[in-house]
Amino acid sequence: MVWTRLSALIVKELLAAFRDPRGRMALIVPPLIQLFLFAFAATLEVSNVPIGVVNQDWGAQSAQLVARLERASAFSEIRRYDSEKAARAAIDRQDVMVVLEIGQDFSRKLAAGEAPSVLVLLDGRRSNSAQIVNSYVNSIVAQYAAEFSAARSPPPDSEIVDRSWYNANREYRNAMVPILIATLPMMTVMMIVGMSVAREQELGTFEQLLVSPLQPIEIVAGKSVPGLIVGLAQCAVITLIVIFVFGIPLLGSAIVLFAALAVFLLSIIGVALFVSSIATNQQQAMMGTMVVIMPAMMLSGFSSPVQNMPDWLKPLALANPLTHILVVLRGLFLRDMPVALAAQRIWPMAVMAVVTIVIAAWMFRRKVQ
Amino acid sequence: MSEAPVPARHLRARRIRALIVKESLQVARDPSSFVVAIVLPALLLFLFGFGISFDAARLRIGLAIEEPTPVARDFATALTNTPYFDVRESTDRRAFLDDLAAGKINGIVTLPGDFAERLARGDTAAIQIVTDGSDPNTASLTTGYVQGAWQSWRAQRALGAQGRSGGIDVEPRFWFNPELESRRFLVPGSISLIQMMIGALLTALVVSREWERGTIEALLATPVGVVEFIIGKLVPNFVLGMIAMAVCVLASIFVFGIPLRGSLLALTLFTAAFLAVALSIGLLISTVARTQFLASQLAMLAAFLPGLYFSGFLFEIASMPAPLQWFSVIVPAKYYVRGLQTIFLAGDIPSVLLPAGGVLVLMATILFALTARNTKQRLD
Repeated sequence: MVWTRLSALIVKELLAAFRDPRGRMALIVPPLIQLFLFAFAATLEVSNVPIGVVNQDWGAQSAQLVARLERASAFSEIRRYDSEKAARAAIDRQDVMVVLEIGQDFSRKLAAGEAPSVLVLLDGRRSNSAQIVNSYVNSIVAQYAAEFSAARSPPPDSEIVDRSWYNANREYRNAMVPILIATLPMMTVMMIVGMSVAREQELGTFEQLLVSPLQPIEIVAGKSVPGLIVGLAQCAVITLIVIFVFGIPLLGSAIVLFAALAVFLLSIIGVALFVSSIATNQQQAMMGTMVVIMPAMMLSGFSSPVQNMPDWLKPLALANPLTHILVVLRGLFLRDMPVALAAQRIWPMAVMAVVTIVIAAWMFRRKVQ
Repeated sequence: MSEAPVPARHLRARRIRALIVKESLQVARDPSSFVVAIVLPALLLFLFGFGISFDAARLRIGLAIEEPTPVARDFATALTNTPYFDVRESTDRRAFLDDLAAGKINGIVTLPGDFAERLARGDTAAIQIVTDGSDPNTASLTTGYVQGAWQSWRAQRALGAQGRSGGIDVEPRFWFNPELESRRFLVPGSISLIQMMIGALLTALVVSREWERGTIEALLATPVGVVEFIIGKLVPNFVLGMIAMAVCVLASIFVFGIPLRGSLLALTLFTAAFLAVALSIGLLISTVARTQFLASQLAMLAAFLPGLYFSGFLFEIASMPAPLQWFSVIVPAKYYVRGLQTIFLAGDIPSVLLPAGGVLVLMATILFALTARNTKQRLD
């Protein structure tokens, strides 16, 4: 009896989500566009930027240094300026982000074994990119200096051997793209579940649902299961694209991956139900969803590491299901994460799922009374 | 009916006023408008101000010294004394492997057993770094800082041995943002996201709601014209956007300590132009989408995401593949963010502001004309 009622509701919800062709497109097209946009647009690397040079030195050494910059793959071209003033104006206009200024006595000092200095002017309006460019310039200058002095004195007595594990070439795409397996379905599921309850409330059909023989917990289940099905289907499609189109292998277990994703989606559904139980129309549900999604994305290690956050924000990051699923995704894709480690991240999400779903059911029950 | 006939022009003004009053009341009565104008901006600013930071905190590394010779200890001290690291020590690299796999440390630095021996022999002694490549940014920073510590350690040893350092000093100077706080460019950038949300998302929702509920048919039966209908919808959201802007500017200056080096006038004009673009996008979306669900999806896709990816405040446009770079040319947020960052951090620089502002005004004009045409078609 319970199952017939429940399955009827689930079928009805799935039909509602898939009946309208435009609504169907809304489940398929935006996540795919985002997947490819993100894979190609969201890079924190800096390459192909022009670099400005003010060279007041006529010696051979400064010319060698500038030639080094010219060959560096990070820079698209060298723009030469006569004076610091001209360079400054170019930065103001955002023609260049960085200008290397070489003083008159550069070659003389270097040849004499003294340490000449060069000035790097950077546009602080984009200080993140500017810092990265600064580190490129630094390593090019340091390498030039090392080779110049190596030619005159004995080779260095120690060296750094640098290696990266789990992602040998430190490619952004390998680290960022697997994360989308969680973030894109998260947005879809929040919208489907949140908006569907709000639409019923706005159109008045929710009251009918409440006076039907369905218990509040059954209504919650009926609204959750379709979201879970659609979400997991999206997860599966994106996982396949990540593996076969982007060529990022899944090193860990697929079973652990989908178990973690299911728990994660349930916690998201709980949050969406909670938001929609407060909202009285779709606009409110939409705004409530935004109010939840944005902090969830930003306090998760999605765009910058959790360890950079101030200490008082870290507990919030740990209460965020997305934080945990991101660790699991990076772990399973880039380094065969052991099940025990994954389980440490799954149980907080399970707690979140139970808490939010129980609260949502309680809110619905209150509406009945 | 007993009133004297009123000229058509006056009637029109009165209709617009009545519509604006009606729409404004509707906006003011819905608590979600308050959320949009005040809570969301405050929340977003807060998140970008505190939650996101590209300024790496102390990196956690494991240091494995296989043979604790004096020279190895000397290097360990040099590493520990830099402000960048939280160092844990051990004699065996294997002690750190689990922590690296679990993401508890960012990297492992190993001084091999023959480190001192090789140095004494005059051979090249290796210092091994292993970083966690699953976070490429932090991995590069870790290597960079270890290299920096190593270079200054070497320079000091060379100074002790020969009394001469050599090398080239690189002196970086960051204009507009000497303290290098990522907050200073993230906060102005996030204002564009807030304006896009109010302008495009809210407008799209408000108008598609009329389609969904069928109330637009009722409006059709009245003498209200297309332009009047559009103005009635736009004005309240425009005001909402301006209130949100005021909240943002006050918070930026007084909470985050971001300087406002340009003028308020330039800021207001720029924001008005961008809001006009965002509002027109929202209206255009609502003429295509009939349901609020679809409208919100379209608004996210057409307005919000391009603003996030292609405005240049999070991701460097020059590093993207060429087709995406071309696409970024038509993203209004790109011009707004450029203007905002310049007005906040640099000042009123005409060579940046005039072209960017001109593009925004042009976009607003084109979009508005398109919307008027589309709405008319839908209403006929």
